[in-house]
Amino acid sequence: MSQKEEVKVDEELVREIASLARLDLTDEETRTFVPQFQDILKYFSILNELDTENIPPAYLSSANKSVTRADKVEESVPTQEFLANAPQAKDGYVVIPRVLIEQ
Amino acid sequence: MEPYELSVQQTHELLVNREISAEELMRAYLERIQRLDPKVKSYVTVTEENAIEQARDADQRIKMGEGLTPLTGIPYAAKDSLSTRGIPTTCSSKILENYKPFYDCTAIRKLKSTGAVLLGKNNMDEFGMGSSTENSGFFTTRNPWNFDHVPGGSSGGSAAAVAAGLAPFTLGEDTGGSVRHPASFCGVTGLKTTYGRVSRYGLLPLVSSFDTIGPMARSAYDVALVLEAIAGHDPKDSTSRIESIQPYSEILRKTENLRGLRIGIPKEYFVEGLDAEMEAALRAAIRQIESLGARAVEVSLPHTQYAIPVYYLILFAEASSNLAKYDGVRFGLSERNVDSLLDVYLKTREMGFGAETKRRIMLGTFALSAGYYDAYYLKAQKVRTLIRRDFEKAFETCDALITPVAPTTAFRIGEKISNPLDMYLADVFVVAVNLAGIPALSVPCGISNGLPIGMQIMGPHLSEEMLLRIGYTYQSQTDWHTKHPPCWND
Amino acid sequence: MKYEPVIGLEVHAELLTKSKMFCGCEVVDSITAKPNRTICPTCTGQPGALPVLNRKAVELAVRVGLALECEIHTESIFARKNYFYPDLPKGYQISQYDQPLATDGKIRIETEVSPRRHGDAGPKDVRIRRVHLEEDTGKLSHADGYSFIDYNRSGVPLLEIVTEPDLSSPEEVKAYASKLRAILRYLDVNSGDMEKGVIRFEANVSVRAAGSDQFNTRTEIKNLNSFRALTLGTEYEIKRQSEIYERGGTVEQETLGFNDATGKTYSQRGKESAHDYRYFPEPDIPPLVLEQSWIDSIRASLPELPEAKTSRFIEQYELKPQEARLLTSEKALADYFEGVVSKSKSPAKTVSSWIAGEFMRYLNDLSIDVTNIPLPAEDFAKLIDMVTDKTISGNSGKVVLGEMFRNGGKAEEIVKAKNLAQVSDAGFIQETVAKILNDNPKEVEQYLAGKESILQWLMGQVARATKGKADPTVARELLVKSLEAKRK
Ligand SMILES: [Mg+2]
Ligand SMILES: [Zn+2]
Repeated sequence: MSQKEEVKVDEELVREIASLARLDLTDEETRTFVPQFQDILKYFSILNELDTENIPPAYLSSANKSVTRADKVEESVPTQEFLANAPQAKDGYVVIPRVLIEQ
Repeated sequence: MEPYELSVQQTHELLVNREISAEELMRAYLERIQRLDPKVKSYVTVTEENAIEQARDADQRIKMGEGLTPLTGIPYAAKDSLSTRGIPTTCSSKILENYKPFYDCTAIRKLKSTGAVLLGKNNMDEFGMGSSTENSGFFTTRNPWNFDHVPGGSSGGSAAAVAAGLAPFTLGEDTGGSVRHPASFCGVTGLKTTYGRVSRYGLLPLVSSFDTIGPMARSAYDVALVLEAIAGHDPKDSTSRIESIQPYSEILRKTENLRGLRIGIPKEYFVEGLDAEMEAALRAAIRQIESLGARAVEVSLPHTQYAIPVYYLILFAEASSNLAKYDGVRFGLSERNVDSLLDVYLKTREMGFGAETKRRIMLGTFALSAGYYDAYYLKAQKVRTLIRRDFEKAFETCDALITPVAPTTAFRIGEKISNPLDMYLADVFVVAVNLAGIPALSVPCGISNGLPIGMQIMGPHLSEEMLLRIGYTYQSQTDWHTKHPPCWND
Repeated sequence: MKYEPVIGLEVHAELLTKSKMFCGCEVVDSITAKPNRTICPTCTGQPGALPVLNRKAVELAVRVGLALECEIHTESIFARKNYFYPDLPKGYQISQYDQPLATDGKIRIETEVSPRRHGDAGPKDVRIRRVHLEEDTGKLSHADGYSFIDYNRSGVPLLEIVTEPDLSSPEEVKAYASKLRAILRYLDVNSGDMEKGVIRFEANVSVRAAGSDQFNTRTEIKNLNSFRALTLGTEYEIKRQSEIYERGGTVEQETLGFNDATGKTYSQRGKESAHDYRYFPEPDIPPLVLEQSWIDSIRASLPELPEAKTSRFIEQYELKPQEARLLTSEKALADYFEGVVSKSKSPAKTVSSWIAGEFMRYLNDLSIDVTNIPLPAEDFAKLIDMVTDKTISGNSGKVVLGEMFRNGGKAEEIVKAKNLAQVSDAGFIQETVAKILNDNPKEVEQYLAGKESILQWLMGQVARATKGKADPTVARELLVKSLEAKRK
């Protein structure tokens, strides 16, 4: 998308994004988001006033470079402590409804 | 004097002189929380049993005189975004309502080793998304100065707890003003640390590029004591700074004036929309600081007006990714009365996240998605470079910058909640600091209509020592930081 | 119309580190270890946990990059690949995206069968587009209405190696895959144990009219986890797509699975339809900046690789290219060959044909891995020498080798125990020759009538009668002499 164009936010776009973000929005939420997104994105388009052609992106905040650790084994967490938070667990596994793979 | 009225430093003296035991101190705080917090609502969890047990340990330590630190036996609370082992850590989100981590945040672990005692966890805007604590998934924290007003956010509970005498200090977390903003609204001293100065390990992330843990207390000196305990390099956080920390409190004790310091006043921060009484209070504070030997100069941060869109675009993007792990599979809320795994995801996230969180996840997913990345996310990162350069340039001509924290004092509960963009714009003075990764201190400098005014002091990377010196000398000459809200004696 | 395939491969190879990519949890056998035994906040995606990069994983990745003749980038960054799947605990995979560790390499492959497109079999360079580091996911298993998640494998370092679409036949795909596997084993970065899933393949396949240079819609076949699956899966997909075009249809861009049982690909539409991974730089990991001197020292420590070893074997040992390639297909085999050569007085060529022949047959028949050869090189050298110096016949040598493989023991002892020592005594052999010529008058007549091939059959009779002990040279000499005597 070109930087000068304005995005047209509609319910379809909101639904598409919601599906990508795994949010099951209600119809009311979808309707509310449309004008809110439009407003916010419109305001954010003030960034287009700036020519950033030759400006490098800032990306990472850290002052560090190449932070690594030695390949050393450290103690793991007992399985039960980890599973204590799991909504469902069995025989050491985290359990979920069956993942469907079409064959 | 009641124990809750004392500073960290004064409490420490009472403890080591055995005029009060850590357990008595703890019980006094717990009693006060029980009495006053139903009105303030600054805590989401109070860890009573744990606290008393640890206070007894501290008493033992004091008795033996071993491993004593300025924080031994001192109670504190932490924003509920800091992971605490075996203690609920919710980020004030329904999606984490029953989550008890199996590990401690590094900052919490470090405080534990000093002998400081955790009282409980503070309310916040869900996952740090907000500037009013109205976005908590549980309840809204009240501003102790006026219960009809917000405490600011997102570390609203942590600021309110200090302001109301419900903890001598707290740990907040600042992603885009979340320590400074509520500190100014509640009239306490709060430090946003340099990115990487305090380990983020165990801090539930909002924006990994911006998040910083910082202390909130009643004075710059108390903030320095806490900073000494929590700052420093952590091999578990690749982004944590390797430079060694400074003896902050000792430096303060030796500081008498601010001679030689050049204070920059960015003209873009003193513009239309800034409350007149607030501007007057700030100008007075700057004169006070000049009287301590500093020299004020006008500087320019020309890209200031772009900070809001840049900040929010990067926030949306990173937050959408950081919040993907809340899927109902391994921990937290999980909607299992469904037909498929996909529905576990969809329903859990729909039920567990609040409106503002969903809005931001949506906008971030959008900003990163194919076709929009360059126009939004990449563009924002490029403008971020310009904003960083603004600060680098300003710090060539001055040592520190002084600005307001917010355009107004604490607004009313409900006033901005229906218009998200309005709420975002209220962060105009605080977010640039996070874009640049620099530290900033919020110090009370006035009261308007019964609500506190805050002054923001910014400095270059790792200049915490200087910021605390400015705050400390200013507080040695003024008494704004010692003023109490009306509920203080309730 | 004739169609030709255009294929690119993505390979995921686990790296042989002790601990995981971003945490200190031990890397364990994901098949035998108890579920969720080596886990921590970081590799189970606990909120607030952070990654710290394993230096050894970087080193192993650089080794591979260098071995594949890639450009190693002294500055690379990690990125988040965002998608939802229950084996991915954080909701994103830490990978590399637009600034990978290494790019632009190549692997030379050899195919026996003529690739359809290029006409000739023989050497071909397959371009490597990129080599990057990422983390593995957990493992899912399924039963009844549930899926079970084990995070032991979550966070194990993975190397992703991506080719350009340079492969033009299933044979080339297989040749590439086995060459890459050999290189990874040469470098000691991966065990090559495909049954454990330590190397996994994905193929991007499209077809086009033969001779065309346009690229058509491609499909991506996942979970091709054996050489057999790779060959069958790409073969099936080429045929499927060609038939669609033949019918005038269009190929849909999609992700396919491969069913090992049926040998067919199938649509995975139900799984992850929209591929919008929303990559962005991983804020929790600072840029990876490598010192050139470190890269140079890794380069200096690289072992001799299959390509160079093959050339050296051809030159130094005067081997045929095909033999040299076989011997260098595995480092352990090449080392074993050189071990035998150094212990043996026989020519290297002799050693090579022993290894390429009977020896390999025994390895295959007994399913012995080349890294686990039960026969000490020294003992094998002795056996070959006994054949060379005619202590035993070639046939006896084979018998002895079989005995050594099955029951162990030294060649001399087996020869003695089985009374296999070769006899060159002309008197003893002459007796046998005379008897055989006597017993087979018809064959003698044929020989004398000019059918010289009968000689070979008669040699066989001598060998049988002497249980392989007669020195064949002596036997042949005596046979010819006796036959010629009959002519007069
Ligand atoms: Mg990959
Ligand atoms: Zn781990």
